[in-house]
Amino acid sequence: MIGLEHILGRKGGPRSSGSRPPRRFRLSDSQFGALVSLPGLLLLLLWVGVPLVIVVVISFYRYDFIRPTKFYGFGNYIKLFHDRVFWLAVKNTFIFSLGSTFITFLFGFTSAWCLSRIDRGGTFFRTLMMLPWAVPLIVSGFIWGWMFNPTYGVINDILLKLGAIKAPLDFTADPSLAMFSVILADAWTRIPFLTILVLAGLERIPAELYEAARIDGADIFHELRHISIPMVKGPLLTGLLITSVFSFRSIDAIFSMTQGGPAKATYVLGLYTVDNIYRFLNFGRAGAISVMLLLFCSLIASAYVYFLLKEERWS
Amino acid sequence: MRKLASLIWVVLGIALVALGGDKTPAWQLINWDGPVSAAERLSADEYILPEGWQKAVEGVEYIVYFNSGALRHDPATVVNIKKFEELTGIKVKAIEVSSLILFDKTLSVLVSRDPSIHGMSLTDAPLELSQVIGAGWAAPLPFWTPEVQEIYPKALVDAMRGPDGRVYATCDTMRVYVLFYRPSWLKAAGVDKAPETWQEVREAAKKCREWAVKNLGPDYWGIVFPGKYNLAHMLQAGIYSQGARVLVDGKPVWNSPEGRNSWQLWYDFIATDKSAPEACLGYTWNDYQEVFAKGKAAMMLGFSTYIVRCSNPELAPGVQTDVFGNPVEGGDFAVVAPPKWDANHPDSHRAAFIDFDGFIVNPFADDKHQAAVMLFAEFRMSKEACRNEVLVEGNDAFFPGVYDDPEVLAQIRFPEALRLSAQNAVMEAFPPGSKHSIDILVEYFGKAVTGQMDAQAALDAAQKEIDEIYW
Amino acid sequence: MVLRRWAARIVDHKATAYVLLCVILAVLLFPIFWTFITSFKSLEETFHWPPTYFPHRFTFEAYFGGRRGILTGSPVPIYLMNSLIISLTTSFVVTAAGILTAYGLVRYPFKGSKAALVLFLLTRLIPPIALLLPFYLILRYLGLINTRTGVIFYTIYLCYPLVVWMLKSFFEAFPGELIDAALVDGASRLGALLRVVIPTMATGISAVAIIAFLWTWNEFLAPFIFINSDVLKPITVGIYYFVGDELTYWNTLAAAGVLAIIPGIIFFIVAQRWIVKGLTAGMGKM
Repeated sequence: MIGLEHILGRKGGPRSSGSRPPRRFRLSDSQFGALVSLPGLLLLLLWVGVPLVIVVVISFYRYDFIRPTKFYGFGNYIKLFHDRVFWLAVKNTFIFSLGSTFITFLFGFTSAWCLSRIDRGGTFFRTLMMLPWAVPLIVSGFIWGWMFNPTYGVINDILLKLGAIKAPLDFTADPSLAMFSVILADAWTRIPFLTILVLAGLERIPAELYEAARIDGADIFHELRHISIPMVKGPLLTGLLITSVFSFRSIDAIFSMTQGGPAKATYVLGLYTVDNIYRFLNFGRAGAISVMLLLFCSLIASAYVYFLLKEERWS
Repeated sequence: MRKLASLIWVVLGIALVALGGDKTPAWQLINWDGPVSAAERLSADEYILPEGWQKAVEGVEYIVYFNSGALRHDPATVVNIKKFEELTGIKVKAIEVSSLILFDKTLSVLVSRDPSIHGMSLTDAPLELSQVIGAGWAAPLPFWTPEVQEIYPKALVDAMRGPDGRVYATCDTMRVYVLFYRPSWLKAAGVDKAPETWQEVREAAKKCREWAVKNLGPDYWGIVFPGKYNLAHMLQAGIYSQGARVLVDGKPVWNSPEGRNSWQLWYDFIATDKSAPEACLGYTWNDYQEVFAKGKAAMMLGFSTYIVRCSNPELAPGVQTDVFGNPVEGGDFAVVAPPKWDANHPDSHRAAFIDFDGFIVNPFADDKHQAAVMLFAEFRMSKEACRNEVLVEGNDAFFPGVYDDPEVLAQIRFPEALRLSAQNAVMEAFPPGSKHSIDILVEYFGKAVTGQMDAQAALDAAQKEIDEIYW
Repeated sequence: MVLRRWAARIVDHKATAYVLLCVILAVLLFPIFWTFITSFKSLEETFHWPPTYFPHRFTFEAYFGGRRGILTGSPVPIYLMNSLIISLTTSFVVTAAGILTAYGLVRYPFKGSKAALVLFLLTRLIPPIALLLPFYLILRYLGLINTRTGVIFYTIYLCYPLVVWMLKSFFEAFPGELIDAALVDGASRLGALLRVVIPTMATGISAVAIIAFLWTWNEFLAPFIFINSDVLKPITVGIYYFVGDELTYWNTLAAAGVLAIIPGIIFFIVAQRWIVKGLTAGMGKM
């Protein structure tokens, strides 16, 4: 550490009469900042950049093992725009991502709100709330697939016992039910993260705000609308956008439950990429889809960054 | 042009392969067809190693290969590995890879020219081999002399042949389709004999379903089949039963007149007759056979290997009794060869697809290891090894002569049905891009069954998209 | 209006929060409960319809049932140790590097530091699955296929950018006067980080480390593709290999799931205070 400190020119030696001795290698603050933070970034860029360059370069080649490989310009992209399955996957991806984000929001916000209002057993409830997060995605995929199994699945039994349905539902064969099941399985793993974020925001709201509102005759709905929700907007947005970006390209739940079926009703972009690489061996198209996926994610993320910066300015 | 592609990888500084100078590759040191011909060595009751093998594999301590699935499901493979280790002193390390994702790992190894894995299995060989061979990802196997090729089923050998005429793979396991049915169920439903044509299957399925709804419950079905990837095999069975083929000029055509009949048949099972559940759309090759093994279906067109599974009370609890609950020795099920289309057709039309796992040698491994894996591959297709496959595991034997063995015949169930199925089974090696085409087919089948499209219109739409893959 | 007043009174009632929480928890925890229950059933019973909510015959055959028992049939302790090695290393490296990076970016901004921050996020937006094959090529070139180091390389990539972002929000919330005071006392900028910032932010930093640990612990795809030897597999891959091609043994599958979940759960129960506190302190600001 001494060596590093020496190079950085901030060696804390004995000091006399409060004035600092002149230093030869004094880095300015911004130089110091760049020095400690940039190596990591450069390494990361190298590490991510090389594979990314490979993917992007390949996306400009017709590389499908059916015909001779050749430079293809934007051919893969043009074909993609005329590809029915691609647009189907785009549509499904948006439905899946929005659905998962919505359910995550519904459960996450409600539980955070409840957690912020209880006085006893907070730690206990919080710990339980976090448990789904500890389950590896690959395992939760199995679990949900088993629970949704049309022949032996427990969900059908519960619904039957509750009287919600008359005959067992076929979750893998009905397109909308299949989509619903994979959304549920995906959201399940994301709820704890959002709960924590929103809870953090809710607990920062000073109690006086609520008290003042009560004196003005506000009821719980006013409070929610005019105090709670506006005050947690920042963390809530952060959580929602991270959730949506992650679910946008997630395939774990779908892969272990429906593999995209029935009739491609749950086929998403991530799955289309995997299929093109590992099953169709169409590396060119897989590259193009990856680039499109990256663009979509960047769009969502730019909304995230935009709101984030706006919030910062506001506070 | 493929070289150009490799050039990209190299330019990016990723894939490098250093090939040793002009040294004779080790497998050429082996006299494969030597004093004892390869055909003779393979057909002997006890496999004979080729001359010069010791020198070729000198210093090789072990070979590593990807095995499809866990070894504890492959007791015959374990026996064969042990035998090979005893014979040669070379350890065999089988890496157990779930068949769902085996190809992902294989592809990673091949694209990066990883020399550390010496042999690989291809679970979907009829579709994958053409691509793997075309990409230069499999080493030609020197023991496939013309004589040896004569011994084995021609269609399979052709599927493993490259454009240059050499053979690049061996067969790991093969799976013949047979028609499974529950005799007590058919009888109770008023069907007296095993169905021999697809029309009879349809009628029987309807009756079985009707009877089951009244007597067993709503989740008992006349027939089950896979609606996912292996749907193609079902469609193929329908097409082959009319004496037709899928490939025309090397490209898949599914909407031929025979193809239309077959498509309609499988569609009707679910949508018209309701004798098969809509859940079929979600069934993999394993799922639907499990449904049968659990006793929930009267019939299925399944792998012959499921005979062993269905005979095992623990694995197939549902078929150990008849439909009235009386225990049946050996299980209440029987198999016959796949049905033909209608009664006028010859029995040779009782045909279905034959699926197989291919085994390839990694051409990027060093030559001594390649030679060792080649020995292993050769041993596994010998009569001795194939005999173990049948006796220990109940698999189908790649070496046809095994079925002449009286000991083998005495041990297997339904030998007549198996023989007929194997004899008629059709092998078509699909061109690159076929996995994509089957995905399209599966999708449109789902659309038709769920009522989003007319059945025949869906087939035409699917074919149109499939044509686009090959322009 | 009357209706609304009634509704407001119900929602506002103290008990409502508890009732709602219990309902949500019942839904959230049911899958985990179901996994535990299934793992103690016999194979036969898993196929019983209607399903049994408590095993008729309580059995450990899924765990100790010879070759098909998950504990007797596969080297679970080795898998767990591999998971631990990979996760701890990743977590340590990522947190240490992340602290330096975030400290530099937030405390000593330079021209383009904002852009650098966004760039960090951007690298994590690329769908990992698309990069898997190129990654394999690189690892193979470096001779890191079938090594834990190779997997760690990859998981570092997965965690590092998000760790930086989380730490960034901590450092922004950190009172700058404390650092200034340390600097005036003659500490170097790095010294201030080590002696003032890190001790003060210990909860937050450990929360980030724990999250990185869990992300790595749950990672499946990379070790699955990169690792071949049985003795090097982490638990997620190990159990997948064990059950992947016999999806019908639902009780064994559930037992494997339980084994993969338990360490995470223990970790969570022990660490949950830190995580919640850390996240509360940091992310709430965003």
